[in-house]
Amino acid sequence: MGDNALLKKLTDELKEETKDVTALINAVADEKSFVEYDRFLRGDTPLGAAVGEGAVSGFCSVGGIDVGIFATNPAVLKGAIGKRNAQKIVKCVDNAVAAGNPVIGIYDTKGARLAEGIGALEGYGAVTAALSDAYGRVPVICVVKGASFGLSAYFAAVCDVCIGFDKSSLCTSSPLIISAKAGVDENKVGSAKIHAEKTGLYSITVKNERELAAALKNALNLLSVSVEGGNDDVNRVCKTLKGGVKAAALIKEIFDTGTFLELKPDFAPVVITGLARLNGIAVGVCATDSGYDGGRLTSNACVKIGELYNTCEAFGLPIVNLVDCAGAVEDIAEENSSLIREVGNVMYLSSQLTVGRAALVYGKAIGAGYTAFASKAAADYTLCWPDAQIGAVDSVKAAELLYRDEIAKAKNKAAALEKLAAAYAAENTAATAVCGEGYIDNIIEPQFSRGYLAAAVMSLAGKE
Amino acid sequence: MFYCLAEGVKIGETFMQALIGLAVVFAVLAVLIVVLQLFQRLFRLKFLNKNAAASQKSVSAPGTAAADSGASDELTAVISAAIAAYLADENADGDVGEPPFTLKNIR
Repeated sequence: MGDNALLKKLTDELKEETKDVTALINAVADEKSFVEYDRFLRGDTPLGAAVGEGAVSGFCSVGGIDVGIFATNPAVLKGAIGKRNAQKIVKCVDNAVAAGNPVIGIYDTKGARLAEGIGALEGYGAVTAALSDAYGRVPVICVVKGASFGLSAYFAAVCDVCIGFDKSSLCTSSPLIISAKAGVDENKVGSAKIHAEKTGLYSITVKNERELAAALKNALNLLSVSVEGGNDDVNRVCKTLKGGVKAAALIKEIFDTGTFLELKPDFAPVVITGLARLNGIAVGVCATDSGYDGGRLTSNACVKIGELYNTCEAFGLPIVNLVDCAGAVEDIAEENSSLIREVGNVMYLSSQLTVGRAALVYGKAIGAGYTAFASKAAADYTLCWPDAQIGAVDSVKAAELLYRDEIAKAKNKAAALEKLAAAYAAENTAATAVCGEGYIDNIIEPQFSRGYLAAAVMSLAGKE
Repeated sequence: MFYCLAEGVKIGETFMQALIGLAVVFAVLAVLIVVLQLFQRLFRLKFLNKNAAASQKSVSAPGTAAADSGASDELTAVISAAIAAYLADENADGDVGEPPFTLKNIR
């Protein structure tokens, strides 16, 4: 067979074997921007030829941002990872990091090439090392397209944003094996719903390639473009804001219209985290919502917050904390689990962040809710609304502790408690009392929150 | 029986009339005092310390002037409530005031 005929045969074979993966990459990449690495790489395995070594990698632009992108190919040896396709992936990641470009990895793989034995594990090690090296230096985005079983499941834990398809499955072993062992339905192991709600691994869940492309563009833009002009007036007065507002409504009013990208919306909903723009400046958003058990911190909520803080710190995004939090959750299961470690971790991170930190107390900031988000150690600039309550302990609880005898003697105990709690609040936890001590920078009218926070972010954006 | 110089008038009756006259005069005086005090309270007039109050007024802070003028706590509460209600109405009408500063939009 002549060179041209062989080339045509190989090209046709490649087109056929990689058409789905290439179509997916082209669906998210800007038109005709994808350029492939090691296209004709080919291995011979006991199971047949590995066209393109079962992975497609290269570089392209997504929403105008240059990225390195790779995808395992389920059409070739079920997308299994071996030593050679691992090298193809590593090359893609290393080149992107060297150029300072984000990395997108798309996984649809049934696990390791068992025939390669330890060689496959070395391949995993090389990919893990490359992703770990990239993580924190450039934005790393993981996409779980179909199945991601075995060691490749761990790649989803080494990224800034993990996007999962709603029909995907992410599992350290075959869900069939694990479900059979546990005697449960296969769909209850490693499903998208599980990772969106229970494990919190999925930052965003998408239904199709169009949604994936939109999510990737949005995330890459917020992580890579620190300032981008918009049409939303920074001096816009938020007329609908007042005490008792929900966190979601507050976020919608304060940040530039249509820029908020919520991360992990179904995981630990007591805290809303995400990325947004405020007067065009990309920021991290962390809002506790008293609609869930008084906004009390759970260990999962703290994991969610910690991940956001790490991402913001890595890419220099100022953080805006919107606080309505009555402290840490009072629950025996949490207490005897990882609560102390995780709340402590958030306090550690918030005090060690070098990016600008602004906080608005729009409800309560009690105990850890104050120390972790709004204290001088956790925020460079702190604001509160006139009806905010800030203190070491909730006023009702404080009254119960301090005036136990007085309440016990009262004829109407509930009325006495209410009166004493109000008196305690006025003296100790009211905004005016706390500001008088110098702990809060300003008491502001709710409708001007956007302007004040924008001013804070603008002044803190260049903080080093 | 004793008679005074005026013919036909007994001394005892004279004393009684004098006592009743004095009692009536003092009673009217007492009523006048009460009425004047009521007027004083009603119109917030400070007859005795008028000059002193006028001299203090020019140097005292607005908040203390209200206290010095003799305004009761009830009156202060009523005025505060009226202002709060006015502001609430103003906000309800959609007028939320001007932002305290203006930022430059990033375009």
